[in-house]
Amino acid sequence: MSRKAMYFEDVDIGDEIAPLPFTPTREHIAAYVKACHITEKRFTDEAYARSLGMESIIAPGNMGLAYLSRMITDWAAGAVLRKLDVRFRGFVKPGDHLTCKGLIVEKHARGSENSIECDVFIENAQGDRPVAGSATVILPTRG
Amino acid sequence: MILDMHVHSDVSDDGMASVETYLRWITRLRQTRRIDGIVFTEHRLFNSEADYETLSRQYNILILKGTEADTDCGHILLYGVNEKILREFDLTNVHMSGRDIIQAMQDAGGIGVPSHPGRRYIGLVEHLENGYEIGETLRAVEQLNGGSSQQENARAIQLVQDRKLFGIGGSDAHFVSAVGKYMTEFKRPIDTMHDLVEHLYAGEYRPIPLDEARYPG
Amino acid sequence: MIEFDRTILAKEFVLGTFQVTAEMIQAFAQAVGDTDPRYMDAETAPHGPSAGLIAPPIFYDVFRADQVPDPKVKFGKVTFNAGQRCEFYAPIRPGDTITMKTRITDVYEKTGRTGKMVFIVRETTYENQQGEKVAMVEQSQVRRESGSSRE
Repeated sequence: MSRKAMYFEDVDIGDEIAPLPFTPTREHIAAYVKACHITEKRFTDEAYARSLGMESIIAPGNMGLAYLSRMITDWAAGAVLRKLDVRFRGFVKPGDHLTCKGLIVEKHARGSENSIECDVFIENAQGDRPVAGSATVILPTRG
Repeated sequence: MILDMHVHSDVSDDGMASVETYLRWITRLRQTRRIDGIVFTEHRLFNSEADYETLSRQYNILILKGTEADTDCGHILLYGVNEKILREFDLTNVHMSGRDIIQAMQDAGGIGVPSHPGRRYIGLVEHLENGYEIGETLRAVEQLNGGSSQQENARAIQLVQDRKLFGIGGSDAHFVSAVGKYMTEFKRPIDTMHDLVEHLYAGEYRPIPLDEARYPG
Repeated sequence: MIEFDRTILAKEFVLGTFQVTAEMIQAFAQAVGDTDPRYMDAETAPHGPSAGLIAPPIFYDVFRADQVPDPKVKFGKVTFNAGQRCEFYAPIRPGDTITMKTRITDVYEKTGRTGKMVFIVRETTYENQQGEKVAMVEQSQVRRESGSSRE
């Protein structure tokens, strides 16, 4: 993919971040679990997940954060994530058709660290948002 | 006068936006939609120390403070919280009596308005169906809530009709971009919490979606 | 009144130290399909603004301790992750040694669509070999009666 730098001067409050669609499969979840040395069975063992009351295994919450982080840096090459604050309101299951979305709600011009605040979400096909939060991102300036 | 009656700032445990970020967003929204003010109804606390007077003047937005309490019949928005209420009730107590706090708010010169009544467990409708006695002082509920599904709001509308209550609208915003989703349109101007409480009992208002919050003419 | 082990509040626990390698960074980035050259490309990354390969911000999730402090909340049957509040101060790089420290900072209750819930808030800091704080993650876990549906 071509990575375009996004400059602080070029964005406005109300702008949308380029959405990132993704569908986590059991293989994706297994790869994340392996990369993070996760031993918790609710992410890999179907019977165990059901014993906790869930329909199936779920994706780790931090995997959703990693996708949100990727959405931001795919949209703005060189962007630096300074803060990410999210609530988990639903489960992410294998096979769910999801989209990471974001909206710029604030700009802070602070000399060396010009940043934007964004409302960020992971939305499923039903329009629900199992992950919802706020990100502060440093963007480079043209000057 | 159009107010978003139900907003959470980062003072709430699950709020994501600062007061000032909300005000700047509202300033932008005002280019096309009318919003005259907001009420910060923080979860299980009343932010006594916060003084929003300066910000209110700076942005020309009415800012009032309330609480969203957890009770034994669901969540209740409290408008007009004062020292008397804070002495009588521990707002962090999720088992407090909803009936008692609604009565106590009226006695203390305020009002308790059940929020998202159509939701499971934390909505009033389900508790009433299970035999909860809310008492005679209930006057208004949050008829349209920005975090509720269509079915949940439909149950709230039904409650308003069945019990001949007044209905407010609130966004229940925890994020900046959710503010104003539903609001309350009052027939008369409101400058203080005292005015707001008076009008809430009088009933000349209706819940509206953001799209209907237009400037006259 | 929530019953739990109050002696644990605000006590700091050192959970361990961990070595960072380029392979770990690449495995993590690949798991979410992230092809940012700052994480993936050892050849171009040194010439870019990050002055070398760096880890994606959420890379802290690879650091895992066998034992974490447990306030032993006497409520609920199952624990879920309710939310994370993260701050990122400096990048993590291959060759870094990261020390993980954690404290339980709060335990409180509230009600949601699925009933009563008790929240446990844990703050974890990550420091590199220079004693520089690289990240802070405040995680909220929730104890509930069952996992049948989310709030």
